[in-house]
Amino acid sequence: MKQKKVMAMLVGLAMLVMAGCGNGNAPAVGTADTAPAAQESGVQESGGQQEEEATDAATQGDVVSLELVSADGVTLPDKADNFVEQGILDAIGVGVTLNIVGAGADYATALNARISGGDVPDLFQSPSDETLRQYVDNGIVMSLAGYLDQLQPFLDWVGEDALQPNYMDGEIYVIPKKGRGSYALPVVRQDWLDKVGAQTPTTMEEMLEVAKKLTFEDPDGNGAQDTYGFTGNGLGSFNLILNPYGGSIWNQLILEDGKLTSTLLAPHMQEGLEMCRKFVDAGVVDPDIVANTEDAVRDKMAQCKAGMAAFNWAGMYKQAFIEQLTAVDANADWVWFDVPDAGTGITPSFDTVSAVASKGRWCVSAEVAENPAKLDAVIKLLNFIVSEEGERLVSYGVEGRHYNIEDGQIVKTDLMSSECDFLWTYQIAHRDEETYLGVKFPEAADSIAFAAKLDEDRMVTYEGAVVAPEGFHAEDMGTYINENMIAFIFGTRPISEYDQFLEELRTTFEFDRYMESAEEQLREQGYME
Amino acid sequence: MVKKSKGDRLVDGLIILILAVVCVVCVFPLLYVVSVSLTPITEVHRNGGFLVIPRSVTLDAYRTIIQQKALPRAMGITAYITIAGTAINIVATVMMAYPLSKKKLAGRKWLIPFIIFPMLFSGGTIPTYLLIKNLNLVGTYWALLIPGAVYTYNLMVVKAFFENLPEELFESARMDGANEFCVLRRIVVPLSKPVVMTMVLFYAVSHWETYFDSIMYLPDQNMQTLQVVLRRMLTPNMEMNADATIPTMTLQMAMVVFTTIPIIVVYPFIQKYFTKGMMLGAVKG
Repeated sequence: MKQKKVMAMLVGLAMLVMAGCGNGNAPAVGTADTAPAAQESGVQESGGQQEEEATDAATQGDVVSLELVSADGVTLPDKADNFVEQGILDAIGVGVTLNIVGAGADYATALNARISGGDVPDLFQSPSDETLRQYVDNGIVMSLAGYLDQLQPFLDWVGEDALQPNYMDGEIYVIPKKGRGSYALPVVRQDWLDKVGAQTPTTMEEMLEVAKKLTFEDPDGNGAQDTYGFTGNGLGSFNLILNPYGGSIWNQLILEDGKLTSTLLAPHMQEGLEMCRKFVDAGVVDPDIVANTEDAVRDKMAQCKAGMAAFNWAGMYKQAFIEQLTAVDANADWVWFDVPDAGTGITPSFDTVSAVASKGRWCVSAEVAENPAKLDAVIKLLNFIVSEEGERLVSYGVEGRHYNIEDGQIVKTDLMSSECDFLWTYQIAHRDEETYLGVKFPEAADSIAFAAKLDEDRMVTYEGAVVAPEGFHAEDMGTYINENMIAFIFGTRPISEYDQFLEELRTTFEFDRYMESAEEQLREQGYME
Repeated sequence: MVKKSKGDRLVDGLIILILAVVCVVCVFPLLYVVSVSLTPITEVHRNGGFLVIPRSVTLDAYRTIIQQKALPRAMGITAYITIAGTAINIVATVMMAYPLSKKKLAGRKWLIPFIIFPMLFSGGTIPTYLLIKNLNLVGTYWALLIPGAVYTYNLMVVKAFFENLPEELFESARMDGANEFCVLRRIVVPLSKPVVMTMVLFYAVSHWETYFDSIMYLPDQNMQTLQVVLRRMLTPNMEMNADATIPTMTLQMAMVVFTTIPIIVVYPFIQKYFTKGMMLGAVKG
């Protein structure tokens, strides 16, 4: 009896295994060159649709299909509901299948394993600049330089300037994209300012005074001294204080009067550090500021523990975040303000904008160059996603369902919020951020416009265009800088030793050799004369 | 009954105290996760992000999870991988361990190093990927079931256990006309429940936590396992995805509970085998 039971269980398990794996056998990813229908069948639940597939394959026999591979946390809809891939197929007759392969370091490992196995996706995101260099050296990716005339509509859209950061050995191995600004902004609780009788600060000294009041005058009125005047996520928060002095907490490369210099060498850098020290010494800085994640800062804001912060637009002015921020105290009124003036004659700014923001990550397999049909499909695809029709598809979804056109303006519907949160993965050339956010978050138009306005004054940095010279340990130097900046700001190393610190960078880390190499590279790339 | 001295009682008290502290330290994180998952986010914020016993309870977070297609689907897939994978593991491990436990097996000396070698020196990610690709397993669940069918370490544990079973039992069975399969099924496996159940737990947990293999071998998002989907939901791309809002703490914790509960629930059913030894007195000398 017992024996029969065991046998029955074994047979049952065997059937379960067979049944489950049966479904999975269908998709042969990366091998189907001309049969999107075969790929579609991979997500179908049962085998009862073979007839349909056969007719599909016949009518779509000459459709070229492309496999795109990307990283990141996104949940794509089922193939049948994927209106973007369907829209592209309908518009230009190119079958696109996007596969998401992990995120972060997992992505690099999984992608490289695939590539080493000779299974190179048609379009994919290179995990890093170093990896891209390896792909180029091994002939895995193709250069787009010879096809620029065919990509004219695409180039018109991203802008001619967008090409420059993407040159490597005179070739273009990545698809250029539209750069975006920073969206960092300083914020303060207006209702607390009113309570403690303070104004929005306009100078650094005023900001310090406001921070003191927000810390010590019990703005939340709970009788306990449990608030901090200044917080932010990470060391970069101190750039709200340092940038107006022309400095930065990191080694960032800037051009001043055509000459290359580092923010660490800024003439007023030490004054900036002194000011940071004043904030810390006054006891107004959130002690977790260096370790804070964006999430943690928002939680502290919501918990009424912080009155002022160096933060960013995207992290707080979306409806969902505003709800969080006002959940505990419905009167919480977070307003943004202009970056305070440091009195150095330098235009106050907070955070930086990269000169190479249009450096892309997507590359095209070298095999595509040898397959005229695929090459044509890639060019068609790139030109399509920047056309009015294509841009709307990959940005806003389907007209009539996700948005309507009213007086020439795109107006979103409720379905855009619920059905379109995966679209950005198809924005291979990114997007015009301000317009895009304006459509997505009409209620936040003011804060978006303000953050965009701050972009105008932000320092333009060039370190993104520089590859560290051979034998130079960029990461070690970065760590050393971070450690010392923390020491200067939190008082474990006197700021009078700042020059000595710079000397250490020169002797121990070959800082000068890095700067020389950077200058040479920037000249080569045409950023300097 | 000997009366305990004052010193003994002091030591007992101290031990109880230490164990109580250890117990709290172990239980607290779990309790915290469950509590936060049941508490409205406003309440969590009001308490400064810290609470043990929820004052008001909401199931909103769990409702949100169930409404999303991705998590319940991934749960089903992972349950399937766990059950089917563990079944394959156990059958393969036991059937391999049994002959290897017999000293008289021809070529045993040569076979065992051959089996142990890949435990110490694995092929590496890329060769493994190439093998699985050339076997046409990429894009199928077989890629998660077959390559890890036998873990050498587990095999060795089971083999060692089998070796300690008294040979006399098998002899008596053979005298009654049982062949090797019959001995394995009727005598070895029933006597080895503790070790088999331990292996079930080891294998099941490792299948439940399948992460990287799923990323590597299953390009279709709809086929991916629970841990991959969980990570995807907990770490949206904040730069590009303008719609992304990091799930609130309540939702994050609910996801953690949702994905760990099933495997925790299995544990009590297996636990009894850990404490119960095999029948040592079966052979009387």
